[in-house]
Amino acid sequence: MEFIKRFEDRAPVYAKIYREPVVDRFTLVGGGREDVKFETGKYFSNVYELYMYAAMLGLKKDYRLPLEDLETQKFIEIRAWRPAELVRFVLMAVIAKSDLDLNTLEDLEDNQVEGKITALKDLLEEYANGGFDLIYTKVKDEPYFFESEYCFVELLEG
Amino acid sequence: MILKSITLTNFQCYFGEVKFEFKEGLNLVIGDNGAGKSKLYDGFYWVLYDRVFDSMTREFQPTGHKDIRGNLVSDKAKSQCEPGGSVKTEVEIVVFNPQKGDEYTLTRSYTITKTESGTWREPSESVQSAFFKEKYLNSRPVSQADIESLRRRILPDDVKPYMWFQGEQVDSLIDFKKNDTLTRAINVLSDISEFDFYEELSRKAYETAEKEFQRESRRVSSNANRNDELVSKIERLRSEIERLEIERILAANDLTKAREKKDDLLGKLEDAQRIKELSTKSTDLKVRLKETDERQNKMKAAINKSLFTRNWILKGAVFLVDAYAAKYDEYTRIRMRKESEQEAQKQAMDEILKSFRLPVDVPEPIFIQQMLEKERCLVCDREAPNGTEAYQKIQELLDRSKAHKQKRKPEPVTKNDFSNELKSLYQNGLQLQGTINQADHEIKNTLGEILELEAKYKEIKAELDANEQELMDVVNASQITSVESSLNVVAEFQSHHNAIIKYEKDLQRIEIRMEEKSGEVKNTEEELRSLATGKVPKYMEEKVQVLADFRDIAKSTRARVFNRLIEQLESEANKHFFNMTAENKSVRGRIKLEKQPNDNYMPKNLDRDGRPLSSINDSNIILIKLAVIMAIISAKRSSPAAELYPLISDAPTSKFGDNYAIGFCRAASEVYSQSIVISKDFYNKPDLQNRLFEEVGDKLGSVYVIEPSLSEEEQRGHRDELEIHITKLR
Repeated sequence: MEFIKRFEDRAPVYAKIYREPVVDRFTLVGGGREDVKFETGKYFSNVYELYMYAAMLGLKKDYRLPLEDLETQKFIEIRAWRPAELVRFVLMAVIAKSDLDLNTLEDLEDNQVEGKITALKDLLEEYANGGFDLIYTKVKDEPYFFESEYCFVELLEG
Repeated sequence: MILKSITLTNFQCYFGEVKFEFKEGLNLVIGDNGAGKSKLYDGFYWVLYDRVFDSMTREFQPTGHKDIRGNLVSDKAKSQCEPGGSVKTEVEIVVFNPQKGDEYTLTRSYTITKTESGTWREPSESVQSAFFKEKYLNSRPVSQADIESLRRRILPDDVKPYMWFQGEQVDSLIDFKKNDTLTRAINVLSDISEFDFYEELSRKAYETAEKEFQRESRRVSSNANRNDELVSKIERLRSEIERLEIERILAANDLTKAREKKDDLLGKLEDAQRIKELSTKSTDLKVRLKETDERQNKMKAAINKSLFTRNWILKGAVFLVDAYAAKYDEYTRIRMRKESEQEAQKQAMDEILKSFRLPVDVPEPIFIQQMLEKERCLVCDREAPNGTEAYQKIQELLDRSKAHKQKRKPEPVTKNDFSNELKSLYQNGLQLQGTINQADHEIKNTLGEILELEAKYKEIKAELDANEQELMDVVNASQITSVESSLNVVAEFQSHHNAIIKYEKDLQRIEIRMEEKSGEVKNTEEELRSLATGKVPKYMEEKVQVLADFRDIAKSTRARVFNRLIEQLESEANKHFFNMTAENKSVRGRIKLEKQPNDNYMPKNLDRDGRPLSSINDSNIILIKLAVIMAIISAKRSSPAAELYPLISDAPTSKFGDNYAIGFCRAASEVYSQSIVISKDFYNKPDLQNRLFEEVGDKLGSVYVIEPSLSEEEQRGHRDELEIHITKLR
């Protein structure tokens, strides 16, 4: 069984409440030219870029929010995310933050391993959800913050 | 003639009866925009010429014109008219001849009728009437036939353009582009045409006498045929000289035009070159600005991309690598322990295997299997029945072989082995840790570069703005209408310069040829004379000589008189120009009426050293023109124009500053026995009014202020309430 592959087969979700104010606003869905992105204030080429950003934000700030009963939006499987080394970094960070015992994991039956991988995906979603919450709060509280080209770099500060 | 008064009744914006009385000297009618100044000028014009100025066509149109008709009548008067009733508009002027004491009253009226349905019947013609009153006698009507001559006495047609004009007409009145402007004016205001008559007369007389002389010469000639040949040669040569003269005039005209154009451009050339420089600099700055902007935008756009391409997204995430490393460390230690335990078990097994005598797989397992089946040891050839110790020993050999095979494939320590994947995550983290540490530095550098570019952008922008401003200032101050046209000025200047050289050469060539032909004529005439055997009567020769002198004198006298007039005109124009500009330091130079190659004269503005001034603004041009207009009237003292006719001018100084307005009025008061100046310049400016009153002194006539009952804005929707109030200040 390939652990990473099984993880990357999963398609994480995000809370639908962020779709319009965060995802649609900052993402040029389906990619696009850099100058177009810049001119339209869409700082991310794909939803997965924003998602990884949100996850890293949550992970860095150690802020995660369970999705609980929130209506969610699925998007592309992790295996399609790029660049690969950053995707691996995110997985590494989620594992680091999880209570998963790696030694125990190796002794589990396949179905149990799948359960653990799902738990990791859930944890990723919680951190991403935390990140989305931080972005959305900023959008509401300081709408002009995102007019600066450096906004998403600045948001990583502190 | 002095204009004593004008009375406007329901005329355009003048509701009811409004009367202005004037005196000799300077009369002023002051009013703001929309106060009825131009309508007052219209009143003067309409009563004499049955025309008013149409703002749509920018021309004077007759009463019958579709845009004029009913519009002549006050809207307020029309609004008060009941259906079936009618409204009459009327303008009356009273003109007085101070020399004889005669008085003329000229009236024009126009009546429209309101139909029962509320529409207007507007006739196409107005009605004119006039009364003449001699001193001490009762007035009597003037017949319609005499009204026309009366009108010409009040203001002759040829004088009219220089006596009655609106500010906006000044430009076309003295049009610098038309090189016969002054010639025309001088012909109108002087007796120069008499000299033209004498010149023509003397030329014809000379030609007749010469023909007579030639006939007689032929008669006394020794060779009649040769005589005829020579006479026809002379005729041919003369007609060729005439043709060359036409060519010379054409070339001279071309040369004049080219020089005019070059002179026009001379003033623009310096500006054009400056504009070109500034424009080139602007283009360069715009390119640099665009480049900087694009570089800046590219860098800004790349910032977010760098989150992923340069891993800035991991900024400050080293602790996550550390956290994973700790977890991975624990994992590997436990795993290693498990592997060690397994290794220990394996080694124990190996020890057991080593205790056997024979090497593994000796004998080979297939033979051992045969031995077990046969229950006999084939090595020592002894029986080994199943269940015996011997059989068991053979069996152990087989087990030992299987155990050895199993040793090659060690048992996994766990059910799943994720160690390589977990290790790859760890290594990936370690690898990225380096870039994470660089992220802060890179971000700082990038932001620094962007700030530098922003500062550079601002710097270039400020330089561009300043350059553009200077460019606009130069364009506005110059006579060049646009930046684009300036770029052609230099080329155009050069092309006129080349044309001048060409025309000068043409002219020279034509003149040389004319001289050659004249020489030929002279030689032929001499040969002709040599053929004479008899004598041509002396009186005939003398007659030709006298008439040739007469012809030359008439020609040079005409030229002298004309030149004297020009000198007078120039001197007068400068007097008025200095008078009008006395208080304005920005006006420089003097007016020079310059003779052109085609014998016409053009007004130029020259500096102290006689060089054309390069930058003349609109005000200066209008001033020069006004000065020339005044000079036309005042130059020739024998001209009755200044004495006999009133100047009426509407907004002559609308393009000027206060000092110019005072200068013009002062000059007008000195040139014209009566002037009526309708102006906005003095409106609501009591200090300026007082200055004018002081400067003009006892030459000041009446002063009126006209004010509309509604503001210009209110007039738009409420024309039917509009009337003009007049206040007499002096």
